Amino acid sequence: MSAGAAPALAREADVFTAALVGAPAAPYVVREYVRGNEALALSPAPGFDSALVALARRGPRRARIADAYAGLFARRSTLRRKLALLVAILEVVPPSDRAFAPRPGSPLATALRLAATVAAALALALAGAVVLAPLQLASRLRREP
Amino acid sequence: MRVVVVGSGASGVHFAQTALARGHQVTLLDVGRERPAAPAPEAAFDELKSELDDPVRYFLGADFEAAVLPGDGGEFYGLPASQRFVLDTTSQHASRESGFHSLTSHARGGLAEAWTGGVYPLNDGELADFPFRFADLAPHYEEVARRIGIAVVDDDLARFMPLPEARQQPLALDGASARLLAAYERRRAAFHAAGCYAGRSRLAVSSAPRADRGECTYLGRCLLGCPRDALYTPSLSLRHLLTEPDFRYVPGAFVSHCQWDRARRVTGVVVARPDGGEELVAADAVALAAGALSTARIVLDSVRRASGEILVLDGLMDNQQILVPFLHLGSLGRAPEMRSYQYHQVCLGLADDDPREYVHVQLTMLKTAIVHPIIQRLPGGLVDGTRIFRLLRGALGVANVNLSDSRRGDCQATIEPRAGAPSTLVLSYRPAPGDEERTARAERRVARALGRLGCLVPPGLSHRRPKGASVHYAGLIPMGGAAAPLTAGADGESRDVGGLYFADGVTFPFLPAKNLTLTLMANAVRVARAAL
Repeated sequence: MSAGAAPALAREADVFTAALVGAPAAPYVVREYVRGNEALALSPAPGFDSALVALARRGPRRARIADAYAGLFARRSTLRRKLALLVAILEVVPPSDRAFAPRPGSPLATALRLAATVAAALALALAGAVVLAPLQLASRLRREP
Repeated sequence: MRVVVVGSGASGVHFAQTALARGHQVTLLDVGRERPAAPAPEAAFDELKSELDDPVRYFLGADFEAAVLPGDGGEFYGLPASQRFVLDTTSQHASRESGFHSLTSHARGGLAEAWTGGVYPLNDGELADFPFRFADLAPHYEEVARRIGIAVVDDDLARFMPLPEARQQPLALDGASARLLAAYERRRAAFHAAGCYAGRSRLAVSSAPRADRGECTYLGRCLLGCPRDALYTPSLSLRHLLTEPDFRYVPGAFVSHCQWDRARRVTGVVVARPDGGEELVAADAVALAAGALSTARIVLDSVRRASGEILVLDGLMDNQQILVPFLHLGSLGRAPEMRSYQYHQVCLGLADDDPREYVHVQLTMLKTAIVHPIIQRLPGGLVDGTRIFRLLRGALGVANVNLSDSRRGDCQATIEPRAGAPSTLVLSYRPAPGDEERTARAERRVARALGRLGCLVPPGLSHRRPKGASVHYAGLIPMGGAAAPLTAGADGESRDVGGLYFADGVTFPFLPAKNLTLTLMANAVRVARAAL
């Protein structure tokens, strides 16, 4: 990983943390995220994998769109590996660990919240598909002339 | 008598304890990786994160080795960094495997340092191939129950697993597990008609203070290693052994092979030093308790050293395990009880006309855990997956389904010599004919039983663990049966070398579906009592 990668990864940690838990990343989380990326060699491959990470870096909303799309069509992408690393860090570090705590409610309220979350996720994945599906297709076609 | 025991796992420590009680001098040879000290031992799981200066290092490891990322092939639960010492092996161990993915432990206490505490006696049906009946093993089960403490109640599972007389009060049930059992009680007749029975897990966990261990105070740290020693592990027995004057513990000892005299009577074991040198430890009796695979390797290396022959052992066994995630609809919207025993509290027993085909299922409701491996397995992205996970968290569970295994000629162990080091263990495993159909049938039965309990089983998320993952290895030097080379007598003594005893699962002629650890301990006591 290049020497200039750390600031970019720190910015990435901020954006992804905001997308995941709706709050800025603590300095400890940023430091560990940078260290984790280096330890696990989380560099995107050229092509669609890089494009997915590049889109996600451009803000929490775009990160959500890229993640929703990747969750359906690029489940082993570097973006998902980076997000999973960040989830692993956030869940063990207070106060961000509270973002993974149970959200109790009545079964009906839970079912309604679930339906709303799934609908929102599908809408985001659809939005992602408009931009990312042609890119993914083009990337595949380039690989398989 | 000078008794040498090889290995400090479940079998080794109970053999050693029995040998000491019978007045012998015992030396226990062990690689002996030590468990790291538990930080903040009175802190609950959620408090621990705040108490630690560097929680990422504690939970995920110095190099993030406990982080499970998409594409890594991880399972629903990752082994936390604090428990990874259990699988930290020495370079003196080497293996090459086909159709099998074994795990080896060189920890003090062995693989059971990271077990989930389930203790289930075998019944006569399951012992049919063994050279003894349940009644013969019962006193040894009782001895182990007294030593380790077993929390158990009399319920419908008693039809499959006899109850020990020495028993403790059960642990407090977490709410979700209590709801599962209540659902079973409501539809008991329908369950029984389908050959399905439910009850409380039998657990080697102190529910009340013991002389040498604290009681379970529901800190929720079971997966990280119980800081109060309430969950029994063999290293606790080792700790007790270290206080005995006739006991000598030798850590850092990787045993290469055994030696015997012209009369084929064991004379000692040879320890391989990391620098390639060797050291003989003399003994009048040797108990191999290094775990079925390492014990097999020691025997094969011993024969090679003595005769130059490289032999092949048949009959390698391991339980097929299937992880079936489920959603308990009756627990939807409810908060899980973080302050509770974290592993399985409910079991299902699926009966079969052939008792050897009994299927054992442990139901674990999700409470505290490292959850990123679960979130990434949910359909969709990780951001929305996290939100969905929070809504479902109190209702998520996993069924760990265990199937029995039997000895077959095409499941083998042999060795390849290495220069200046103990041989490489070579394992090959092939599924039995009809294995696919048998596994699929068990999956269908479990899915139906979970459905009757009010659980939703999401399609496509069941995971058949690779062979070797259950770490219930057995069968390469069977006991009983006709006298033949590379077998053991009913008392666990080698039929090839006098004074050489097998105290671990290498002698089991059949591998029932139930976790074998309790039976390993009881059999080690039985062998020691018969031998010494």
